[in-house]
Amino acid sequence: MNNIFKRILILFMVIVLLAMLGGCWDSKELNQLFVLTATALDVAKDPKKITVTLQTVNIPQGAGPSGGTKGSEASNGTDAVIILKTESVSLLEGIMTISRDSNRDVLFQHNQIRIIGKELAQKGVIKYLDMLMRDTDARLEVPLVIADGRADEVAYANLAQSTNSGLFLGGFFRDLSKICKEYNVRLIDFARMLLGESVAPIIPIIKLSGGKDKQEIQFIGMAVFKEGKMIGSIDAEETFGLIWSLGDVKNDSMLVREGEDNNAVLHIRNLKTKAEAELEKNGKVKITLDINMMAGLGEVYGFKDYNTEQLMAHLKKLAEERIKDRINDTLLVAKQMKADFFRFGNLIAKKYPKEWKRLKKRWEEELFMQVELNVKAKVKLPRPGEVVNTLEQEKKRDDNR
Amino acid sequence: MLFRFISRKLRYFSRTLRYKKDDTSDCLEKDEMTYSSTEDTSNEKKEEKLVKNLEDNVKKMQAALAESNDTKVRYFRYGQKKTLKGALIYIDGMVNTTIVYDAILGSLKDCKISEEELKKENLMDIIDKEVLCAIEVKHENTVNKLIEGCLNGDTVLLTEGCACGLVLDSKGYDKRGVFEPKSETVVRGPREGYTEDLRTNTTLIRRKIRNGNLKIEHTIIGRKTRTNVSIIYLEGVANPKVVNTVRQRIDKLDVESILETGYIEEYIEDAPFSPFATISYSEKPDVTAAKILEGRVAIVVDGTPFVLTVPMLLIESFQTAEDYYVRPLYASLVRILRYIAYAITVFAPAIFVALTSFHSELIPTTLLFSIAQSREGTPFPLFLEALLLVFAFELLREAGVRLPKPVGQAISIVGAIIMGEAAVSAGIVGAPMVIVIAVTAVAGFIVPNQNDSLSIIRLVALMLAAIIGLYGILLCFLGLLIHLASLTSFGQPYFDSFGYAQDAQDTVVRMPLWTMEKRPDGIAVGDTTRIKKFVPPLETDMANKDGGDN
Amino acid sequence: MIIDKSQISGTRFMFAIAFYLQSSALLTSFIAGVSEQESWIPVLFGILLSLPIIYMFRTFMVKFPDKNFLQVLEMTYGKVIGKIIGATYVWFFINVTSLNLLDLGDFTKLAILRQTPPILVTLLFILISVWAVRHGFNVVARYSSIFTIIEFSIVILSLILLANQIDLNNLLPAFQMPFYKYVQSTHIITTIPLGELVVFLMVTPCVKTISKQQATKYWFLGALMGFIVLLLVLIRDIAVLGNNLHLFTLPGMVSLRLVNLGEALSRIEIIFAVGLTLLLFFKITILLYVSTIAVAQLFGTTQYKNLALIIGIFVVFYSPTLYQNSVEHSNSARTIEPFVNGLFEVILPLLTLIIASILKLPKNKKNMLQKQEA
Repeated sequence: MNNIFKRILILFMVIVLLAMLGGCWDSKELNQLFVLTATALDVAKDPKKITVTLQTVNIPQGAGPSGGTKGSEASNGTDAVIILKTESVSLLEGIMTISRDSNRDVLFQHNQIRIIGKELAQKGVIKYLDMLMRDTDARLEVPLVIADGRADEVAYANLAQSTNSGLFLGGFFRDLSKICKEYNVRLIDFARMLLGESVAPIIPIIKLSGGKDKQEIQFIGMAVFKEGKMIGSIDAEETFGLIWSLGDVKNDSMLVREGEDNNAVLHIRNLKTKAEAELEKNGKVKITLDINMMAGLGEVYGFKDYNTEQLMAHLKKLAEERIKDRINDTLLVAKQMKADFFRFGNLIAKKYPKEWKRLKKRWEEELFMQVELNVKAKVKLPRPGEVVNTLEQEKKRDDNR
Repeated sequence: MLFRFISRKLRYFSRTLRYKKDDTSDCLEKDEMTYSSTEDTSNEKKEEKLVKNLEDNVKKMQAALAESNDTKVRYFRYGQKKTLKGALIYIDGMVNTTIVYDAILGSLKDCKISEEELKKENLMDIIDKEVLCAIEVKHENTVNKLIEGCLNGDTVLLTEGCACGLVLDSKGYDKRGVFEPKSETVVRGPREGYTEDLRTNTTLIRRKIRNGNLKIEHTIIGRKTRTNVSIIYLEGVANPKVVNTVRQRIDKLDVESILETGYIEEYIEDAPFSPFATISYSEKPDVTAAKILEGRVAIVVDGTPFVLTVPMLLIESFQTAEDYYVRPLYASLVRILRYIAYAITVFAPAIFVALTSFHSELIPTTLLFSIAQSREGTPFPLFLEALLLVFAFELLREAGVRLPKPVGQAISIVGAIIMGEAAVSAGIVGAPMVIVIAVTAVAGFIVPNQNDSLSIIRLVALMLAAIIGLYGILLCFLGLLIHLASLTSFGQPYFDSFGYAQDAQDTVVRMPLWTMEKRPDGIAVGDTTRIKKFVPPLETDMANKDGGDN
Repeated sequence: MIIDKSQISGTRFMFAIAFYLQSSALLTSFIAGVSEQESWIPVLFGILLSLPIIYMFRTFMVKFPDKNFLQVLEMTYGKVIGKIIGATYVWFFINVTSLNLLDLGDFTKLAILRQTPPILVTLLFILISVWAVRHGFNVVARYSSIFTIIEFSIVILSLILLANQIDLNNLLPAFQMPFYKYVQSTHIITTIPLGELVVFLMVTPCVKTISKQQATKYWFLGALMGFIVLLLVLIRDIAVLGNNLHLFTLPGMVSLRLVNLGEALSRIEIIFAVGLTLLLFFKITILLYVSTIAVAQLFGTTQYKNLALIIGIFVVFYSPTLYQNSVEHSNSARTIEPFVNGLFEVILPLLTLIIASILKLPKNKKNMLQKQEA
């Protein structure tokens, strides 16, 4: 009996030791990590390589936290970010080089945004995205953005609103995505568009402006891709057209003009679109967009000659017209670029799957050009806000008494 | 040496396992164990009988009581002509002197029995029935039983010419009064607590359950201590198998001393090596009464205010008596809070260590920055910090229990606040860690009955978390579940209350009392209905018939 | 000879079946590789196809209430052939256990602990499983009811959280792909997740005596609960990920990663990881129990407790050797495994049932029932 128990004890100790010694492979102490907030990809001097820039948060060292100063935005002279840069053939190789040459590992999981430089986008961006999809650390819901210019400048930027441009951009796109989901192009959305039926993916573009300190980031439009390469861009105005045709916009604002003096700003509470595709026998495609917009009156500038009811009706008409015009303009731009970022291809593929197989090859070159768009816009303007008339109208009424 | 010690313990463990746990379903049948029965084997020397000579008897008694100083012998003469000799033997301090002198001696001295009658054989019987004024009288003729009476606080009456003695009830030792117990305070509910006297305790239970079926059985165990032990249950409701098992297990104990119910608990419990107690205890009679009404068996031990109840389910640790005196909505909320508190106190340090060391991606970004900043200045790895703080907390808790009251408050303030602050400022530990441990500590007090299991599992989870992160905590959790699933307490599965719909009325939430029609499944056998006719409140409200205000 | 004397109630058995099916719901990537976006169609057909198979299992339970499957084989085919077929079933059970353990190890290595060698993870896991098996089936299936409900709530919760990203249009167009892909997918679904219910034929002696109607009720209700979860999870994944579905090895995890309700609720995939580990734990424990009982039955011993540890360790060291990498694993799951599983789950039991009814077994059914009630 003694023997058996000895053996059991030995076995037990072996297991315990195995568990104890075998652990801690995955343990990473936080003070041995760089917390990555933004990744930037750019072209490098060597045409086969890219520049990988990693923006990480600088956590002030040494001082133990004793009341008072916490948080990463240190305001006593030290930088809030540490930028790590290298040139390499692919993204993961760049990251490996960087972590090898620094005293800490890189923590990828808090990456807020990925910035791609314009030049690199024009060269072709798909092959660099493979690591981001394959690795479990890299999150798929991080937004992509194209920088008008070089991406690493955005990483270096010291913005007026935030010392860490990565965090800023992350919040920026979270806000924008509340207006319309299309603004926030995550990697998974990009992949979905890429694999869709003859759809041209789009990614927002930002521009950095301002001097040394206190720079600013602006959203200037969307970049249009075809086969992974950026072929052009549409500006903010044209983006509106795209957004209104794709639908589901909330809490945006629309500017309505009539002539130089009469402006009005409408709050878009809700804009929903239904798209219907019709395929005629000769291959011609007719798309009907049914747009329903619920709006509120934000600001009226001018429009002296109307009273409230007339004004509301008039503004309604103006808004509907504006929607139609804007979408048609954007469609013209799309046709010029020969890029179907309206996702009409998807519509037809879903509705006429058999015919689509035949027509797919001709879609981009021919058929898209011949798409006929019919926009039916319906705007509802129920309330004028707090004030019934503008001050000018009031004055006019008083004068007429 | 250590090897041999551990192997001996393992051998004993396996032997008991073989006897107790061959069947997981019904451990009650395997209780024909081969423990040696010990009636009075060590008292063989004292198995003496009395003789007719008074002096010899007294000498025997004094010798049996080791000639102690507090053994008092009072000789007296009684009878019509005051010729018969007698002696009272008692232990000073244990008897109520008023009873001894006034009631016993007084009545003896007044006795008018003639000498001839006193020469008869049934002398003791006459004295007992016709003369004495004591309430409880027992006839004994062995020295053993007589000194047992003395040691219980009774007085022994011996007479010349009779080989028999009377044991008269005259208990009068000092005992603590019935106060609110310090360990189980309530906001609403009775504040009586048990004392150290067996009779007081059983009386307190009797006053709660004034039913003729409440049965109190009595044994004496412990070779040296001869402690009085009572088993209390409701006949017709309690499971007879459980009662039998309890009786058997207690009867077969061959121990030297029983000082507290904890001793008995360790000797009769089902799973001695588990961190979970399978026998519950309480210091308040209403708690015990409620458990007896559910069909459980209570064990009361003389000398301690803690009363055991078997069988025990894990859910009981999360139920307090106050739950049932407060209204159901709030009681349910507090019950759920208790479950969450238990989860927090066991797993919080482990989860914190796992998240910050292994899975930093799970922490929101801004929180990560403050935690990372606090990690910058501290020298130890997180796991050591956590261990240090848990250890410091246990130190403080033990110190707080032992300290005299006026000093206790100051030390707790000094310890908790100042030491914590200073440690953080000095950079030894980080502020988030202190917060986590503080929350753990506070949450630990919400489930007081499970203190022993908490501390152990907390440490195990912490170590597993330090080794393989969140996966380790998961393994610890699964191991815990499996262990709980395999525990039985006197035949009842320890942790099965979530599986039965009927029991759900009292586990996660506390349903209103008018919905609890049946007793919990399995514990009670026989009469299982609580409410014969289901009458929710307001059904018989006369005001409704009037259709308006009263 | 009764190996394990523990008894569980019928409802617990039902929940055990439901739980077992639910744990297959999270690893559906191998179908997605074949039928991509339209995977829900083969799943529906697979469910329909598995109903008669479940009926067959239930018939076994009704006909032979206190014999586990290997004993039935011995009774039907005679001692020698019965034992041979029983031995192949032992191989089958151990194989399935190892495959599931391999799934667990791969998943852990991929998502939770990237640098720890998976053998450590699986070893500790199996040790706890063995501990559970030693306590008997009562303990193994104890938590099935509550965990079924918890998993169900998690699935519903994930549906709610992902509600703003679900696009049911992703389920259409339907019936676009060549016919053979549907057949293949249906075959895979029927045999791999749904047909593994054959293991419950080994635990028949542990279930308390139940009547015919009750047996039908328990089998089908349990299976129904499992089906619902399987369908819900698959539809959720397809709706959220759309045409990306077949790219990912773990689509469930990816869908949960996309939950983004403000910044606080953005790392929900940990729930997926925890849920999957819990589910797999119980699945592997049940499988380990079945393997142990099968081996004990084969060699005619009642000491299954010691066997549990041996088989557990064997499975730990056997599972990494099965495939070189997970791509091979997926490939085999798509091509070879359905046929092997189909043999053991459908063909052999059907044959056994037919022969048993021809031989008018069991001969002394009344005695058996009386014995169990005593």
